[in-house]
Amino acid sequence: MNIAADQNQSWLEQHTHAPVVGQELEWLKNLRAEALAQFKQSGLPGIRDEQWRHTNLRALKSNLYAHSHGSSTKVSATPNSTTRLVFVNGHFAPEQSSLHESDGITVTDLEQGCRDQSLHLQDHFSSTLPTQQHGFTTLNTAYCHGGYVIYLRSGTQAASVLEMLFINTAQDDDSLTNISHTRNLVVAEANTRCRIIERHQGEDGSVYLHNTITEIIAGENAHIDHYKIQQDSSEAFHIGGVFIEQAANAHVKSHNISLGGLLTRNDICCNLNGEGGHIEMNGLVFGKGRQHVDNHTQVNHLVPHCSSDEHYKCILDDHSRSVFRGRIVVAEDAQLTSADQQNNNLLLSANSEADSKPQLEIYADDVKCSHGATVGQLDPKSLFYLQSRGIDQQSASELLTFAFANQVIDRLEAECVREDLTKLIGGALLHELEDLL
Amino acid sequence: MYKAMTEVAEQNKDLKDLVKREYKEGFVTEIESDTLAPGLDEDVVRLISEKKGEPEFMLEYRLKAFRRWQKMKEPDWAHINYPKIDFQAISYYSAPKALPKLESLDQVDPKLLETYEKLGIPLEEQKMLANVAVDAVFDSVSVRTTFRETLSAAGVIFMPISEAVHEHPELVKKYLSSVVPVQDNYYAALNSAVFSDGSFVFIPKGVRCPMELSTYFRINEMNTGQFERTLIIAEEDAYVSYLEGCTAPQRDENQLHAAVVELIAHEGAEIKYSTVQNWYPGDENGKGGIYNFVTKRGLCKGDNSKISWTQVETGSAITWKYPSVVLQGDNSVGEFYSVALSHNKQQADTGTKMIHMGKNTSSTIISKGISAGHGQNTYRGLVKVLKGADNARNFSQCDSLLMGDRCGAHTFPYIEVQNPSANLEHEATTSKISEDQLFYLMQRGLSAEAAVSMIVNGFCKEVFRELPMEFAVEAQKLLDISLEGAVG
Amino acid sequence: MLSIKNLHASVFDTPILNGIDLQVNAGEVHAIMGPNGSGKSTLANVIAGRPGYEITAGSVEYLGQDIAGLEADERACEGIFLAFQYPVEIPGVSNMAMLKAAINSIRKYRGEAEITAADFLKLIRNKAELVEMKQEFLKRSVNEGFSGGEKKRNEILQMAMLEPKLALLDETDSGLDIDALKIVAQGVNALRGEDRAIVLVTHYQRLLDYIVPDFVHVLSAGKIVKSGDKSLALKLEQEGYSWIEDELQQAS
Repeated sequence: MNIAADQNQSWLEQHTHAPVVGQELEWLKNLRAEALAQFKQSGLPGIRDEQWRHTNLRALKSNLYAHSHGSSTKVSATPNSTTRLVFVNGHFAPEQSSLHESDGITVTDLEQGCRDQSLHLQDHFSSTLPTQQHGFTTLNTAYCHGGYVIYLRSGTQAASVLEMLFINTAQDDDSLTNISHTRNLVVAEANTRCRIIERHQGEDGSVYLHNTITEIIAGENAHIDHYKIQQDSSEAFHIGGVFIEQAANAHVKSHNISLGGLLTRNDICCNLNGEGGHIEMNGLVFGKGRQHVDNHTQVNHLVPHCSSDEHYKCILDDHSRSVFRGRIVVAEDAQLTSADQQNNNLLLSANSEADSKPQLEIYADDVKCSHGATVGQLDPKSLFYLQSRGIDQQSASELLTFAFANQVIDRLEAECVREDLTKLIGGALLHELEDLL
Repeated sequence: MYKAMTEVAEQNKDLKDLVKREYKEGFVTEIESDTLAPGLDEDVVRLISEKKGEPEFMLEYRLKAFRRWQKMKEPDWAHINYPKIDFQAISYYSAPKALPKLESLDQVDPKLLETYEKLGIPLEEQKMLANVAVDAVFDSVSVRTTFRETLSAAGVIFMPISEAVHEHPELVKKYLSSVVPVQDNYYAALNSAVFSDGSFVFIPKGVRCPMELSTYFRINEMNTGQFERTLIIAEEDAYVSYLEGCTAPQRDENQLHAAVVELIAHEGAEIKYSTVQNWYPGDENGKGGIYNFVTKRGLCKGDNSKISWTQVETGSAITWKYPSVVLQGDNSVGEFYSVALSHNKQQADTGTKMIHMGKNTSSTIISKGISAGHGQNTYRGLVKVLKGADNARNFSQCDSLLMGDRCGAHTFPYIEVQNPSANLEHEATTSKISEDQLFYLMQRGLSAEAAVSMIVNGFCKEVFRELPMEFAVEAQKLLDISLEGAVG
Repeated sequence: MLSIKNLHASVFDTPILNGIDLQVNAGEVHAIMGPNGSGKSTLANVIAGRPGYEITAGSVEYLGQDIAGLEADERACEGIFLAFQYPVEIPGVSNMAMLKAAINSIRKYRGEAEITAADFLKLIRNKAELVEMKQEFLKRSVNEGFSGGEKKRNEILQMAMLEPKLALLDETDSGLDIDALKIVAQGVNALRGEDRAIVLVTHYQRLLDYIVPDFVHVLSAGKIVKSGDKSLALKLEQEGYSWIEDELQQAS
């Protein structure tokens, strides 16, 4: 047996005592078995895989992982919404959560959701995942033990924001690293509307690996706003996936904000399956320290008359590094597609690094597609302009950095998120300026 | 809107008609050739070296490359599909038979000269007329080099590389594979093992080459892969503009072409390398055509040096080609201008690599892809800024034009930046040929065909502008022929 | 010269014109006016043969020939010119190159010899003066980076170069300041003649102060609802289009 196979075997052994939900469900058991078989074939990805070429997993792989079976960690933050589900180390924490069940809208945790036969989750679970999956995805299917389920029956609209909070902690035994696999499902039938804010947090300095996947199935004319705000511990590994299937005239917005984590990898994929569909993807990375953020996005235009609009901005300070790959595929018959993608990188320090791979793959002829990528630093002319107006260099830099980020922040409709980010990135500076102005 | 779609479909149908055209250069010259039986092993490598009477260092070089090649795998990452190549079914050497040392043009086989005339490069005429020195590579052996005397008066060396091996072994030894190592990639290794001929250019310090240098490549013999090797060295403050044109006769079988071109620009030197590639693209069903796997790389070795690649690629069934510049010297400049047209079943995966190493280096990439019929056109380009490359600048613009609903256009840029003072800008657009533009021109009285030609030439203007005059005219004509019947 | 009978036309399957009758003779200038969306531009584009603009009933005869079967370029070669409302930009194609190709294409159609480079240069310099266009504009790409006014002047220059028999001007006055308007009018008036007809499509009567029409037609909902002389345009200027609607309603 070679080293890689050894490693995969050891990974599986680390999962022998993994807590899983829905073991009594035959369909789920079968899915898990299939996924496990796939994982045994593929194992975890490595830098030899083209899709992981820029993301070294050595540190992640060197840890010895164990599952935490629930935790008493309390959440201090006040909820932004009346509906909030909290997950600690991937386990649902009912005492800290407020569920929602009304007017054809169900918001619950994965375990409950799987048992609720009226939700028919077997039709949706893993249905959005691509045929080619990397090892973290198959592991997630095989071992997910928590997550949220949002089900919107035809014609319903969630009145308030649905807030999902994921908290991860370190293991008590520091020779072990905490691992959790969560799976979230959003099923929106025709003519529905909702806004979901997913927050990922952890006590600073704690080491853990959180592997989380969100599946979004948007029915005809469904309008879904999905926010993923990752503020994990600066030592944490975060592997995430957001997989979206859109029917005709569905409008989905996927916002992906990466602020924390030591190593973050997100795969965000969208299939436009019905005419008139529109996907907006916004991303913001603010890297500091030794953070490594790898965002892989993909939009598949499979039918005519759809549009996609993507803006990813990365601000990189210290030794941080960003990898962006954005792939837009326009299938043979997807005429009258309109697709635009922009990736802008701002390098603030001598040791930061940005890799950008925007990709257009077009098999139809009546299309308008474009992409742009830039890597640069703050414009010296603008800096000088601000300084000549009496703003010191540090503040001028912060202001311009914020202005750069703000081009994405401005696109976010959720006010609470906009405010949080403005505070976080604009920081004290904006306050000061407000006083000045 | 449905109406609009049918209109589009109809237009596409006409487009398809337009795209259909015969390959003009598809004639075979009947000349006795001295061709090796297909197959490749160490003996064949030895035989090639022996046939060329090469010195020992060349044989060693070839054998080393061959051994590396045996251990390598054919790359499969490019966006191209083709049946597996049987490298043992290819003949690795073909030379017109009984080739004596020629003293004058009169001694060249008239049939050969005729071939060149059909290609539109009459050597006789060029001798007097054009300010162009031609080194014609007919299949594998360089037949004739003109203007050598004028050039040598200026101190310029321009000769077949097979001769340079004998006459300037120290230069060949020093520079061969100094930019493209033998193990660089599968095809480069193969080329290093079996290359038959190509051009060798040396411009000494401070010399501005008095004329544009030109080579014509032509694949004639059946089943012969052409593996030419070009090496161009510009010493301090030297300048040279080099033109390369390629054609091949029409054949049903696919022929392999795996060339290696190395450019070295010392301090303050400038090399301009232009290619018009019109190899047989195969018929409309994808039968036949050249497989073109080429490694072209330039090294801006000295400060303030400049290398510029311009290519117009309308031929070949498969094109796999990424002319690159390694910007090692401070303030060095790399440029890549490309027009790639793929129609019928042609597939092109082409682009460039700009590797920024020195300080204040800059690069420009302008790529224009045109896809018609079932053609698949991929731009693949890497811009890499290494740690020490302060103030690197890059601008990339990649535009694709689509004609017909069965073609594809793909853009895969790779941007890797390890220095924060870098400024990179990449823009790409893909769109179909504009119906508004077509209507506008037709309203002014132009036929659909003329309108398409005008729009396409306009689309490619930024690249054509970079070509030397004679080549620009030829390129424009080529594009027109390729698009004959492209819209209605 | 132009005889339109009961013309019904659709734009990408949406019916826009609902029975237009119009007779334009050589030497005449007609103004087509009407509120937004009444079908003015559609009419001009149908005559020029724009793809997607389809005649569903009725006929358009030009010089005694039904032109429904002719492609846009054939119509242009027959002498129909459309000055576009929104002239398209064609990057990389110089104004000069385009015009030379157009002239030669039309000449070829007529069985005439190609224009010599010298004659062409003389001609274009001449005409460029007429619309006060600088030489450098001629070398620039067609309409690329031109201001609104420059684009419209360029249209008139092209018209002057191609010397059409029937000129259709689609909202050529929109977006022009008064000086540009005068230049455009000057160009159009220079073209007026016994053997030519001009159809002006316009929303405002302003242009008609400088190019005085022989006839004014008002288009509403895809039909000509009123025809008259220059005074009709003035009345429209003062009172707007609503009185016509009222009149129509009373009539029905």
